[in-house]
Amino acid sequence: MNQEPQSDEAFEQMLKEKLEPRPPGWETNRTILETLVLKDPEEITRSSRKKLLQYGWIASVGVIAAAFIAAFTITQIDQSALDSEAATQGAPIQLGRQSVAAAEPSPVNLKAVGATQRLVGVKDMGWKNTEDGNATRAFKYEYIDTVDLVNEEDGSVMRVEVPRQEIVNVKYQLI
Amino acid sequence: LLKKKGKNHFCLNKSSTWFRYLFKLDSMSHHHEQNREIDGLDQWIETNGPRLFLYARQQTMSYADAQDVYQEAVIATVRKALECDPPTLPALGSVFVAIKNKAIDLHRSHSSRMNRETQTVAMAETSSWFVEDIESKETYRLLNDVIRALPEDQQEVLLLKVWGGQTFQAIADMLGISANTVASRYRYALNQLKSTPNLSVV
Repeated sequence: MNQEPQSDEAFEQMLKEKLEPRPPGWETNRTILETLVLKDPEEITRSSRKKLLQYGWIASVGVIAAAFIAAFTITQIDQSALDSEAATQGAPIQLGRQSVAAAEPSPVNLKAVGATQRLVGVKDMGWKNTEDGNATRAFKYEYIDTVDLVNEEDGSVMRVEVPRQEIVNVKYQLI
Repeated sequence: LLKKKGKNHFCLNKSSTWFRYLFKLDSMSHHHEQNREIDGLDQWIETNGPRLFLYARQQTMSYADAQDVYQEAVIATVRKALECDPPTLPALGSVFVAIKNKAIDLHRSHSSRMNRETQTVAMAETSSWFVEDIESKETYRLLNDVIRALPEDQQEVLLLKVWGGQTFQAIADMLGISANTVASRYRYALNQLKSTPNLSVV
């Protein structure tokens, strides 16, 4: 580098300082960690997928219905408060009683009448080796699940969209 | 510090002080437990990922291939090392060997599948192996260019020695050649770099 010849050790040190290896992508490292932390990625993916297909819809409809019941309850409390305020014209005690009454379980019945799943993206996650030595290629599927809910009282329909991801390991063989 | 378990596979001796320091043996979950915790794995990947990936880049024709090879090699060697008693993380040497083997397999499958044109395009990929040094851009460029222009066998030894932190003997064992050959390839590569024109004035 300079006038005096550099020793191998010093030159090696200079190389290390000047040239820092580019790290692998964070997604690659994340995939490695995820794969290694799971017992058997294929088995877990398969069982998760099976469970998802079996119970996923029931669970998601239940959660969505609960969320909407809660939202309706809150809306009704607010509406009841406004109505009673207008009716009583400044009777705060009456308003309080009506609000409490409105906070009791709402009779709103939501019924799921339709559900669709839309595939919005597929991403190749790279190779994975299962513990039994099978070579697989992992794909990440991104769906938008849509659920239509009908309010049985007034016939209004609500549509809820929920994003969902699924990782599927596909066995492959080089021929 | 190492116990040999089969070809190219080593288990770390559990009595090693640094090993105990790096990996909390007592809290390491058993191999067959679901969602096991592997203490130190993320740190191990963070520390060794760049040097392993650099070697994967050198061994493959494209960034995407290097990612696949790196990922497969790390997963395979870590899994194998976890089968040791006690479970441990792999010695770097075994991961380098796995990277080389996976790259050879990949190259074979590419050769049988890809046509000549596609291979040429893949080989023409010249994305950088190193993080660009903005402060001394010219030195970076000169060194990078010389390293990329070295013959592959010298390139390999240089990367394993300088950035892989491997000894001549370890590299010799990995590559199945004599330590003298490794040393001579290394010195030749180093001399090429030292004699790079304009490097001394940068």
